[in-house]
Amino acid sequence: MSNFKTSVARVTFALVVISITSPSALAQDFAKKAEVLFDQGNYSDAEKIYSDAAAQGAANGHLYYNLGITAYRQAKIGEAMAGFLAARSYLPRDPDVAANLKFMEGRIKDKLDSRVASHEAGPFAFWFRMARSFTAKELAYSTVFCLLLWALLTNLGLLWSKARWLLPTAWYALVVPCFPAALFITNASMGHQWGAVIEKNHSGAKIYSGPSKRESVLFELHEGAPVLVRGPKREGFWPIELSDGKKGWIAAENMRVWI
Amino acid sequence: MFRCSIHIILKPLILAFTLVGSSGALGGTITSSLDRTEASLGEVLVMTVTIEGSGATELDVPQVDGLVIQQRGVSQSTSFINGHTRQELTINYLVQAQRPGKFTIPSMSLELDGKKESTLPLTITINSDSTSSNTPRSSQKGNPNSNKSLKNAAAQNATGITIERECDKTQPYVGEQVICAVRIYHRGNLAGGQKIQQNSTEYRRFATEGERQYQKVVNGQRYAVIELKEIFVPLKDGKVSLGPFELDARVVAWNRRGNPLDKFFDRLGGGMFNFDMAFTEETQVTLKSEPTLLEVKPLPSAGRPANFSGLVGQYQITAQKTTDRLAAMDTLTVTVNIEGIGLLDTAASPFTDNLPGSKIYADKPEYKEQIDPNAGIRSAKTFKYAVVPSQPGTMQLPAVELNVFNPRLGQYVTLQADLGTLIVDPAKAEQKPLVLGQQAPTGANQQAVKALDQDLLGLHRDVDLASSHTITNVEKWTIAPLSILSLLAPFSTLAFTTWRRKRQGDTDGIRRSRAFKDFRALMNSSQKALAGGHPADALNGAYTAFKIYLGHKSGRQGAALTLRDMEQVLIAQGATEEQLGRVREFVGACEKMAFGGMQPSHETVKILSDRVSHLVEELEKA
Repeated sequence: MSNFKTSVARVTFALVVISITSPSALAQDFAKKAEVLFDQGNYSDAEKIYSDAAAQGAANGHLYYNLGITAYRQAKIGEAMAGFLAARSYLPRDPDVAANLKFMEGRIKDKLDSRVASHEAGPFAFWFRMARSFTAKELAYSTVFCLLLWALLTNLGLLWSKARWLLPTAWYALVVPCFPAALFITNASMGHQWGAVIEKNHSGAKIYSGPSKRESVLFELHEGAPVLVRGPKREGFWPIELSDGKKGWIAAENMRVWI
Repeated sequence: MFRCSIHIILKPLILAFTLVGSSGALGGTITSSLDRTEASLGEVLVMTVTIEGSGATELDVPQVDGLVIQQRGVSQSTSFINGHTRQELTINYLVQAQRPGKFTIPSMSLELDGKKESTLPLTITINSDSTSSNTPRSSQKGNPNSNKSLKNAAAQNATGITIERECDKTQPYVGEQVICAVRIYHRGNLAGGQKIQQNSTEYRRFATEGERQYQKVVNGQRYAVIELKEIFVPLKDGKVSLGPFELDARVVAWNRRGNPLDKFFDRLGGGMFNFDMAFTEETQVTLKSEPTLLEVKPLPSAGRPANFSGLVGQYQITAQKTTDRLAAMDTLTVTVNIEGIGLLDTAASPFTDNLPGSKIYADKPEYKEQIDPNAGIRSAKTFKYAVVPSQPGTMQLPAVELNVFNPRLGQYVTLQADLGTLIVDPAKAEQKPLVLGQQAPTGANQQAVKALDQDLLGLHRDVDLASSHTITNVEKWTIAPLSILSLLAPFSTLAFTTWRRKRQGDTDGIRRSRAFKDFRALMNSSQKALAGGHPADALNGAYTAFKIYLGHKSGRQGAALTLRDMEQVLIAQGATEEQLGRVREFVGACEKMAFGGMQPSHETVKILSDRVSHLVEELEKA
């Protein structure tokens, strides 16, 4: 009986290991394949591999970064900008992403950048910048870690008389997890769904006052202009906001947003 | 039956031509002429009819058996003489014989200015020989070594077009240019042509741009001449044959096919119904000149310098430098220019590449070539060098020397250009050359790197593209509960401890509040024992009651209390020294009884019990 249990345990362990490692091995396969195609100059096939992975819901900053580069090599400015914006959401502190975004901002026709004006000025600009410098995942993990530490110290002080001296410190330490938690809430409220304008037939993309082409045309944007998505899609239109504060609605066909 | 007919074209042109008449003071004239009176079978002659005057409406060209006469072109001119306007019409005809023999073109008549005018008859002799004395011939003249021309034998063909080549020298040196004139003689039947390119390993051939056209009379016959030039540079000595000049020509000819209309009208008797239509057509013909033979002389070995450059021609050399003085490690530019008549494309660098105390960097030379139809090939080659002297001092730059062969002089010539001296000052402090042990120069002369272009940064390679950078569902269901638990755990613990402490505190309170009651109960038992005549038990009972009382008060086991413990408890309860004295006395009596075997009396026990009761009451009141 004990042998049977041991065997079952071993098989289960092996299955778990395989299930964990196999997706990684396959993923590295497609990444290598895409790199080889890219190096051969076959940018369209490389882009297809990356975009297929992205369409399947991959939430990886490096993937979108590489997607942006392959799109740029095919002169797809809008797609490239959308890729880098998506990469920034997952890799907010990556210098390559920042450099390429800055490069793209210099290449687009419209004088826009990929920051919301209200977050860049005012007394809370520093706070917003800090919140933007981390991903939601990082802030969530930080919050949980700080809470766990605080809980451990507090419980120790409460339950063990010799550690009673920890109690006053532990209560003050409650502030510590509040800090990443607040950043997490700010980060979540800031909006991370950035997209880029795609021109059709080399004519600018019209921005309407409402989710319909019968609405007034407020202004026009050109290929690659970065826009912040302000809400869910409605009747085939996205509500957007520009870095200079302008708002409007853009047809889904004129925009590429990855996340 | 051999049928002769005269093909006349463009009659309507004549019919349509009307001369504006003059006042009649000047009479009209008509003349005809041939460019030559003798030709070979197959050759074409040109007959020109000139009409002056007014009133001409139609010119009938007579039919001549054995001749084909075809109108070629018409030109008209107008002149004003003494207030009168006169017109002149010139008509050209091509005349070709169909057989050898003597032919006479009869006179042609026309009514001009009211009078009938006629031309004189023209006689033509057609030989059966293919060579004609009238074709242009070339003859050798003079000493070929002194620049006299050499005429090649002209090419003969049925079209009457001849090509000749005449070169300015027949015995050039190897590498010396030979300018040849190619002349194409024709009688107006050359519609166009394309030169056929030729290649050879024995010479280099250069074509010149443009051509000259003129008319020339050769042996009494007028020809239209197209003249163009070619330049040859022989590459080897000995007999070198310059290939013939070949022309892929379009030659005008008329066909002799019968015209169906012609046959139709002939059946009607011909004459005025004889509207014979002649057709011209262009034929493609390859025409050639005779090849030209050159006797190329080798360059003389006598006097040949060891460093002969291989260049043949008449050249000049110049050399200059940008400055006469500079600091060590600065750059001096030396420019050497060679130019003249001849080819310089193979000219090697004439400047030294080894200058002691300096480094020399050569630029790519610039070469220019200009082909002049009369003077030949003029070329220029410019060499530039960057010279960087490393040692200060005065340096004599080596003269630039080039040994060439001058074919005109027939000897080797050394061309020289002097560069003079160069004064090299010590290097600037920052520019001293790096010597082992010395400090490296500072960045005073460094310049910022200039960006030439911008591009995206490269792919992220060898990174995990599959792992998720966002919060997964698993993480969501782990982090949230964990956070909540972490937040709630300390508060739960705090609540628990508070509850436990409170519970603990209540027990002690209960005990304390019950201490006096229990004491009184035990004392009552002790009193009963005393009343029952058991003083020892009564004392023992009182002692136990007192100890239990103090135990309850202190939260300890009363029975285990010693006198010292009791004193501590009483002190904590606020007992005075006097009260402590009484306790000592009581405890002492109880100890004596318990361990000393003393039997206390009824009165003693009563007194001690009363004392301890009073003490407890006092403590309770306190």
